[in-house]
Amino acid sequence: MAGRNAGTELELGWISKVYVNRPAVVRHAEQIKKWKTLKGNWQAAWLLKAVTCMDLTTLSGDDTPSNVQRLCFKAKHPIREDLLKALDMHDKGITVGAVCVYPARVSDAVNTLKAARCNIPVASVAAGFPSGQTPLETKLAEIRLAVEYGAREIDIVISRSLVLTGQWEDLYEEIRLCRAACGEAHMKTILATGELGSLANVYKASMIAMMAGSDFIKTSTGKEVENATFPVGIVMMRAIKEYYWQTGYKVGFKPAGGIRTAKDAITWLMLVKEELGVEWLTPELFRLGASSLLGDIEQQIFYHVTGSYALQHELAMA
Amino acid sequence: MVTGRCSGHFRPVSVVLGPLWPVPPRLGGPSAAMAALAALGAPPVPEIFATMEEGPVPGEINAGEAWLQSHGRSLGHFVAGTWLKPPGRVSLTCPESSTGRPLAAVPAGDRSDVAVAVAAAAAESWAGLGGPQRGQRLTRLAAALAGERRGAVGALLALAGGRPLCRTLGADLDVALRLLRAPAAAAELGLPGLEGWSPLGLVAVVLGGPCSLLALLWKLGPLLAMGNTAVVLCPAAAAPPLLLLAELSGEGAALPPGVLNVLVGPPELRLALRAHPEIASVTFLGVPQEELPAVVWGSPCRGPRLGGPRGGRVVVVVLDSADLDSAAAALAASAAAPPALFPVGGCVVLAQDAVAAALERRLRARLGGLRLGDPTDPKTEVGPLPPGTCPPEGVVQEALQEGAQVFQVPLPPERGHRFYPPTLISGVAPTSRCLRDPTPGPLLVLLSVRSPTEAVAVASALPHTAAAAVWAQDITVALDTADRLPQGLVWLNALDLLDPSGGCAGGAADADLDEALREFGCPPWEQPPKVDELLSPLVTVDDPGDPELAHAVSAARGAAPGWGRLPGAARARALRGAAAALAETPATPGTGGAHGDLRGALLRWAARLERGGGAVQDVPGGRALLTRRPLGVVGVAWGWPRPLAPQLLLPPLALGNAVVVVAPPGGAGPAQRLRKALEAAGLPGGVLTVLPGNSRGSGSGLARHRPDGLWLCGGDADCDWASAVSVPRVWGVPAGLVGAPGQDPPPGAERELELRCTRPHCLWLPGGAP
Repeated sequence: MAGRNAGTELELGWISKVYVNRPAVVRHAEQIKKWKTLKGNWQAAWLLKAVTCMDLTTLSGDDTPSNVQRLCFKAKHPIREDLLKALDMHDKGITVGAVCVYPARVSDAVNTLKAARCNIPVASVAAGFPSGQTPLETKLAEIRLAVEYGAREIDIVISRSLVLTGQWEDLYEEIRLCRAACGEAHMKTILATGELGSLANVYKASMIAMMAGSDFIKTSTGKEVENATFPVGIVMMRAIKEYYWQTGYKVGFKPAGGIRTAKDAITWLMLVKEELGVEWLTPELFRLGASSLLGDIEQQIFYHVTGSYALQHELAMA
Repeated sequence: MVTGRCSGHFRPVSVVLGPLWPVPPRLGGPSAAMAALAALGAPPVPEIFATMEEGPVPGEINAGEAWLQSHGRSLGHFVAGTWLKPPGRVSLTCPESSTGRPLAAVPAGDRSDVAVAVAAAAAESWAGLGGPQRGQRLTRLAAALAGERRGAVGALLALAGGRPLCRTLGADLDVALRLLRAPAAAAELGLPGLEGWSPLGLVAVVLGGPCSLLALLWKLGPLLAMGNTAVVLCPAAAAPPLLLLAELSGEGAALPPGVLNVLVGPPELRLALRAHPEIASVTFLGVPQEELPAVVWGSPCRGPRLGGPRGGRVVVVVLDSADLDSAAAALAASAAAPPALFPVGGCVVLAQDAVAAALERRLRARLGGLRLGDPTDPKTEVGPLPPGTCPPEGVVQEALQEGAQVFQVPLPPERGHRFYPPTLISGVAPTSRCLRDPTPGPLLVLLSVRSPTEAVAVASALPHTAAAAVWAQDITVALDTADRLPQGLVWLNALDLLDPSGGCAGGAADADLDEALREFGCPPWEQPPKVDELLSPLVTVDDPGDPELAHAVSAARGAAPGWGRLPGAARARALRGAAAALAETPATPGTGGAHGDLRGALLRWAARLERGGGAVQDVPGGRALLTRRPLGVVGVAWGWPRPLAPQLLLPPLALGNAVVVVAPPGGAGPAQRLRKALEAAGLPGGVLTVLPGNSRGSGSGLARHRPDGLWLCGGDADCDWASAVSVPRVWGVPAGLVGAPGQDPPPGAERELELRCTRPHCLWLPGGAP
């Protein structure tokens, strides 16, 4: 593995001949929805993998230190200890992949996790999240502040206007500057695919984001009308594979928004395995952005272990 | 926010009374999931967590096995709505395709069973029900297939046929239902366009070699909708799903007893079927081409009609503006399980040079990710080879020796010899045996081509092609390429979409739904009208010699494409010009009436051309453009003892074919005048050739020169011989269709003539999905 994606020079040739056939991709995605779900120990193991790849997220206007603190503890103990023990997974360090909050809540999250002696990274959205309609200077300043507060991962949003008007050089420059502002922090680039107009644009924006040095590309903010859909995910993963073939860098993928059930989570994992290969199924290369998903996963694992579903009070709230 | 609520699977939970907190979790308690796991011997969670294997899907009872078990694994023939198990017969075994394990036993059928089945076939009562009733009954049969036995049908197709369950229960079954419902709907509407047609009676359908339920339904639906009854003969390996279909046909009062009979027996039994006097027609499905002449040779003059086999490979043209990832995904899926109606034959990919390497890399990655295994596992994508086919090992080795690159996914060691690994052969030329011979199995052959034009040329020269696909985002190049491909079914940026209303046609001899219905019907003009007037004096001449015929056919072959590609209006101009010229020439005494007929016919066909044709059909996932294409060279052999009716030559000419006609010299005169008038009005030389000749042998003489279609006026034996051996479309022209001089052609005749000298062409344009 070549390590962290260093990006490349802007190769407009890589996006000049991009063709995506929407009906074919949609048909492919329809097949995925018919996949049979996994059973038994396989289901449990895949759900735990989904937990370790999860960015446990709260991005609300009414976030306060108290609910962020709760979220952090849930991030450290995503699945009840006795359930993990029953599956012989209690000593495997099963925590979520990261906690994802607004910049103003980063300090709360970092302090809570530090106090809990827990090494889970804090991810911060930045760069004018969710619309990206702020000046570049503000975006960069926001990123630097979030890193200063202790965020080890930054989820930036791109300026959709640059994609829609075809200003690929400007988009490349903007993301490049954001990456520089991130420094050591890993950068996930949110494409907001629901607002890019076409699947070909999704592919091109993915390529530009990777050339500009993104560590992850991410589907959506969760605030658009259309969030992480399978056709979009398929196209982004195909771009990741192509970039890997061209440069040798493995870039991560993060679907986010609208992923609520354990079945959805497993389908995404299976899709990643099909399109990118099993080596992408690690927290370093795959994240699921979700807020309510963890509850359903814990329920399913509870059912797998005990044979019945948990009552509300039997599982800890985040 | 995370809550403790279960959002996915709701289950009523009884309220536990007692201490509310903490409730000890019932670790290790009785759990259905855990029990199933124990049975499976599943690896521990940490191990799966490390490998991320997906595991099998446990615990579901195989509905196919359950059905076989309910019959004690002893099946029989299904005749007259009940099981026929004659005692004292040799027992045939229906094997499981992936392991060879016996699934069930069937007593071998013999001639006495054929007699029983023929006697039981309740032809009259079924025909007497009338179209609307029959349509409703067939719809009920489709409902029975889609109902609770759906699982059993899918599982049996996987068990016996080796197609993965995800296909047999998914796309295959959807197409199967459409194959029944579309002809059923036509029957419910009273078979529009087929007024006055009657059923043939009892039709035998012979399955041989690898043949799917879908291929059978494509014939069976129209056959039953037209009011015929059927005796299906199948080999033991293919029997279980067909016997289940027959059993289902009796449930829910779908089909009356005796309408659908299934016999299981050795291939020799087809001779008994063919020779049986009460069987009106025999259709062969999946009989190897080389065996057909032996079956057909020497058939009696008024013998059963014979329908040919179907199948072939799919040619996929990938141009430089293609969505390569989607193309590779579709190709890998198609290699894993070929389109349902073309179960064997493989897939040839013609990739433009600029994208060939990029496509190959994607294909290798996709083929490597295919899940190969037990076809009854819902996650399997590649099952075993279809029963009755040999592994393509010889072809692959030969390609290797020719210097081809062969990419082969390692085969899991526990898989038996019935499995073949997904394989990609590249760097071969069209001379290679992997492109000449049909090759079953998960095999892709990749050729690079320089341009779309070269792709069309290569695709046109490949043998055994059934359908084609073009992948390109550039719509002009895509449509232009698709238009020039000779295959009758072309998909744009898709593979293996099928629907009877959008054309299931494939291969040179295949038909659309209208033609499929006509294949099993007897037209009102079948009975010849009284012909008093014989050619007098009857002149006997020698048939044209082989060199003469060869010359005429090759001239026609050269002229046909130019004439066929002219717009209809331009061809209409030639017809109108000829009509005007004929009006000026004084009619020969005694043929005045015929002369007038000819002019009228010229004007009518010109008008038909000017009106235009074709249709757009809504199909699942988009639209299909349906047009009719000229066959190319149509040979006409006039063997009736009366003057050639030149009107008969107009439909093939008008619709863009080149025509070589052999007719007695006495009757050839009008045809020669017609040729001169047409050529004066712009018909290119070679499009119409009239040769003198007058014997029953002229049909076979023409057939030897391989025209694309052959019209035989008199002489059924020739017809069968030619259809089996070399000519894809042979038609014995019914005397009643031509009519006596001075008579109007019967209603519906023009449509019939049009269908007989054109072939369906169907272009699928996907799009508009949500």
